[in-house]
Amino acid sequence: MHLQDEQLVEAYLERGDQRAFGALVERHQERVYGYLMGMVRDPDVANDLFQETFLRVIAALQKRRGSYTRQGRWLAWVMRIARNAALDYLRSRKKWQDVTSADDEDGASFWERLPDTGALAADEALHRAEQGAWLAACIDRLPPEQREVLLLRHEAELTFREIAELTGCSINTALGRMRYALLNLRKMMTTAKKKSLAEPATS
Amino acid sequence: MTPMDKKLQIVRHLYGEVDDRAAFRRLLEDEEVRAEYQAMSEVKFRLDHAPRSRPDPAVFGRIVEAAGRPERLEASPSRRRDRLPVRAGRRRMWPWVGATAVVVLAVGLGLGRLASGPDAPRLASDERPAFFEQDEGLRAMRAPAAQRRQTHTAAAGPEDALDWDGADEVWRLHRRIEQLRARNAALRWGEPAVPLERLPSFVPGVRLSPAGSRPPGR
Repeated sequence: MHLQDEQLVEAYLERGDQRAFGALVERHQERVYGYLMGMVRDPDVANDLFQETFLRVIAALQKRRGSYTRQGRWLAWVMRIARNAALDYLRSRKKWQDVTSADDEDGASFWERLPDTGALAADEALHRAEQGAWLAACIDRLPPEQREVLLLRHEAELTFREIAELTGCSINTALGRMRYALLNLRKMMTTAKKKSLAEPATS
Repeated sequence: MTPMDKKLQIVRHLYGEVDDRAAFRRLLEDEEVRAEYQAMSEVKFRLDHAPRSRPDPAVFGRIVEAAGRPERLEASPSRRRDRLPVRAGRRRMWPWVGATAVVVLAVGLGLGRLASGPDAPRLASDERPAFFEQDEGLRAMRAPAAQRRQTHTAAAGPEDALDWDGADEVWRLHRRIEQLRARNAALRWGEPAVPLERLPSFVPGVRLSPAGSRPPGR
């Protein structure tokens, strides 16, 4: 029998069912961990933040003082806690700057800001690493606001409405960031492909 | 619908968040939107088929264990709690709180000093002049004074302790006066002038000159 998230939460809260909570973590571990890993790009840190996220979740559920009101999706609530943990970490290392509304549609200038070695680095990564790692490296090169929306949609599988609520922007802004993220990734792929095709001819 | 609206709307169709086939077809009639949709579809396909990563199984185990014993989690002082974001106004407030505390402290100290008056006795230092330590009589007098101070400060307020500290100063001054009086015992008011060399405070070898004369070279 497949229980909904809210039913598992209820079982944990009402009966202290440890296995119910375990099932919740297992069900969403890839989503939460994938998002955290994409944000911090360090497996050790991502594991720490993953643990921190769920410890905060447990504490908030036990005290019933958290923001989870059983009205929205449980995963969206967990992702809010995960995001706070990730941003706390990134801010502490000055790797994150809060995005102002002026940067909302800033995708066009992204390529102008890229260093000249960007395409070369992507090309080298293509040959060295596996496809997944290369894709992760490309995502890592996206502007933070675009990267986050992409991770929240692809890894955490939140809807654009949930992403907008979570990141405190309009749904159109979230869609715009996603669009630029996909188009920028597309450009990176095209550049890397051209390089890889040109290389055998020159070598 | 503006061209940008169409481009944003096609993203929602790409991710299956809009279930309107007719609207989707209408959007794709725009060549630019169709090209962009195809480009984004390719990237989405790559992203959808990228390997998913999982956390360390040990971490998973620790979380489930913590879920079974949440009271230990609450007791742990090192664990950070979920918190509301710190608002900019609160951040800006902290320096003002610090500055206010410093001003209140300074005013309090000033009022305390005013209340005690400008001639209030000051706490005597534990370091005393060497002659005080060398004098057997004064040392003997100081010992009971110190004892009294210890018992007195234990029983009474700080103003009494200041009083006893002042007594040491009085004894020191008394001792100094006695020494000067002994040195100048031979001098009397109204006596004829005496050469400086004869005064008890005269130090042999130091050449004395009249006070009204200037040293050579000045």
